[in-house]
Amino acid sequence: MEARTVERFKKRTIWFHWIHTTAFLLLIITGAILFFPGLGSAAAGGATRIIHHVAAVVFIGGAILYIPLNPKMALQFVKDALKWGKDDVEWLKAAPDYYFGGAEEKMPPQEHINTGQKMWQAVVLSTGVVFLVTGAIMWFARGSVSEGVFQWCMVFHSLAFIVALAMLFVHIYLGALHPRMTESLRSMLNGKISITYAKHHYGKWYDKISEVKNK
Amino acid sequence: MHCTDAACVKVCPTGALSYNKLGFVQYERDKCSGCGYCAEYCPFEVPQLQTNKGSGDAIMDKCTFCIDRVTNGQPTACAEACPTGAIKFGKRSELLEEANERLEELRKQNPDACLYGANELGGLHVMYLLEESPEVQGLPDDPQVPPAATVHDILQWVGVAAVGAVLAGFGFNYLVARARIAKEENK
Repeated sequence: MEARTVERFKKRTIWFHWIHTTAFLLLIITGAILFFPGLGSAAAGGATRIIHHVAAVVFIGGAILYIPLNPKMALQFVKDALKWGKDDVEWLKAAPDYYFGGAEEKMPPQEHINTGQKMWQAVVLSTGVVFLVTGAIMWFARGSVSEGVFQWCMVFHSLAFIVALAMLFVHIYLGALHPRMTESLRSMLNGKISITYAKHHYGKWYDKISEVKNK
Repeated sequence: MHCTDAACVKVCPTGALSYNKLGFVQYERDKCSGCGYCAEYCPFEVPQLQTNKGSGDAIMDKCTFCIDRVTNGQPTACAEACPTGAIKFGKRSELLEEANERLEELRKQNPDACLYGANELGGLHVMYLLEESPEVQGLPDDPQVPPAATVHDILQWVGVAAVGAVLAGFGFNYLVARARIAKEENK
């Protein structure tokens, strides 16, 4: 990596990301045990449920705590997930050629996060709400809601699980494993990316921050 | 109740509930995770979930059909202990014949009298001779496996397929992208 870098993530964001990751992975693993046929015997005794509950509190509580810690970034996260424009469509069209063949020319310049990362944020937010609502009903309102409500909560919790799991794989793959995403994981560890990488991957964002600096 | 088409067996994630070779629903308590899905899907409210709100511990209990006795040729304990013969254990065909004879008698007094459990959900492995309609006893007239159980069954395989497709896609993408980068570097 070249010596000239720009700050991409604040320390608190990095901490939050990895605490959230730990809680999410625990939720996914203990959930998978109950969901996928053949894994269920690992849940015997019920320890996985207790892990699932503790991790759920960390996952949701962590997200709420982050808001006062970094309100600007938290708001940006929600905004990014909801705001879609022409560049996002262009990005999606050009993405296969880039991720397979490395064709960068057609990729429109991106903001602080790119369209793919936006998709992931939208999935985290939307499945997060489904997980929270259906999970809270199954945890706290069992017995006070009808069996039918519980049954469909379970179905929607599972549906959100499939979407979140598939997209988690996409996130891990593109963030850490894809041969062209060389600085993504590192930026979530030390908060910095090289200027070259920033120009190539987040062009609009880089233009903005370098303008601010030059003023 | 030990339904031939049992919602609890369908939704049990751990295999604690399964079908015995003899057809009834067998329950292995030490496999239970206490998730309580069975209790929420059973049309008869048979599985009873015991939960400790503080610790989060939970375990389910239900009639085991006296599995150790029945698989060794003995009647269930309830049938053996019942002093009035209100509970009987035996061959289905013989019990059915006796029940139908008595049903004819009962119907003379109340046309709503019925035999419950012979055909519901493929047969419940327990039959009740009821003097009145099932609703009076708090039993559903036409018990069904809830549709959500079937949807969930399908979702499980959708999940397997989705994970498989995503992983295969990445493997393929990785190889192509790598090969491409190697080519660029050789130039």
